[in-house]
Amino acid sequence: MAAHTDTAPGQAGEAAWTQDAILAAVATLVGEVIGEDYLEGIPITMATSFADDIEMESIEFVALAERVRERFGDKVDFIGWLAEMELDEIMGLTVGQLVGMILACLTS
Amino acid sequence: MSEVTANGVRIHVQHLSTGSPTVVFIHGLMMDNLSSWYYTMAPAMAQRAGVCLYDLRGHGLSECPPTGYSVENQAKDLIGVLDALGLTEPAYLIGNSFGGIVALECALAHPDRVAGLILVEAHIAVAGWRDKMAGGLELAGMVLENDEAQIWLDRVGGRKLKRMARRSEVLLDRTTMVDELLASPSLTDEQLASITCPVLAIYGDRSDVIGWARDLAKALPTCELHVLPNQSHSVMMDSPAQLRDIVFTWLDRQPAPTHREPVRPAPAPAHSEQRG
Repeated sequence: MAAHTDTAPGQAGEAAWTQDAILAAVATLVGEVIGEDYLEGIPITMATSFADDIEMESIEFVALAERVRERFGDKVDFIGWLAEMELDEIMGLTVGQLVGMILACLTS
Repeated sequence: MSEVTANGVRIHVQHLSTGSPTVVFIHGLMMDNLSSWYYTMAPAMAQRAGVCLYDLRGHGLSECPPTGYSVENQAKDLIGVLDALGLTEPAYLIGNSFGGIVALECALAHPDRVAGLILVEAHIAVAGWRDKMAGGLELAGMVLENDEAQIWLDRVGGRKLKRMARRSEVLLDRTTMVDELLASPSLTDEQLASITCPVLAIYGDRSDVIGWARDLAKALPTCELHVLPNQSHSVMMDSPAQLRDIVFTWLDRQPAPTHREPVRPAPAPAHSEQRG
């Protein structure tokens, strides 16, 4: 839960977000959405596929998108990102692609 | 998770963008939820219109009450969602499969709230609909009750499939959904003809419900029908890009609302401790 505290990067006066910090925060959000019990033993890495590796249901992916917006703010345009993708691209998304998008939005 | 209370039920909503016109997405029955539209058309629509998606009662992350599944009441759910979000201007309703029945019922029972209908492979509650529906629902029930199917799901289905199957089981076993839908009255040609808002209907030529498309186009003077070659009932998932083109082109041709609001992302929801 380290990346989900009041002293997390991106808060006022703190250092800018790094890829590792975003990955840790996203892993926490994934655990919140699908349940830590289920995630136990499955490492969340940049290469982890939402659909294949952690069998995230599509409705859970929607819930994750909402938490990403809550966590990182309106600067992260999740919906605009999805709008550019076709169904098979969304189905094949990895954690790394999401982390990369968040990093790009936060540092642009 | 974003929730509103609509028609007395806790409904999961995704309000992706605000602005005019408003477009409300309605998904299909049983294994479906709002994510099918979220994955195919809603984000692109949110760049050009105010977009709201919701899970039908008993589906997705919405509450699963034991009763209240009649077509009439599910249309009230939709109006309740619009009210809860403060969307008072008439909205375009886009329904896939069973979602089309809810959209049509809204246009008939609440015409002042509906600017237009987009029906994708829509079930139409005309005579004969209940027989077809009963066939489909009984089939789903049989598959889930079958022991061998359960063993297969347990062994190879994985978490995702098991959870989806369990939710369908709850709908079939612990709610009156099937009975209520089968008891919902059929629409007459006169009722269909009384719909005055613009209607876009899109069906696949190989769809098992293509007959309803012809009925609809005949009875509804305002209906523009597109029949897509080599497509089945799953047009939304099989040809999302083609579907988007047709829908966006049609929507661009519709008269602008009298009071036009610019499209922008909806504000992020306040964090809720309720977990789905």
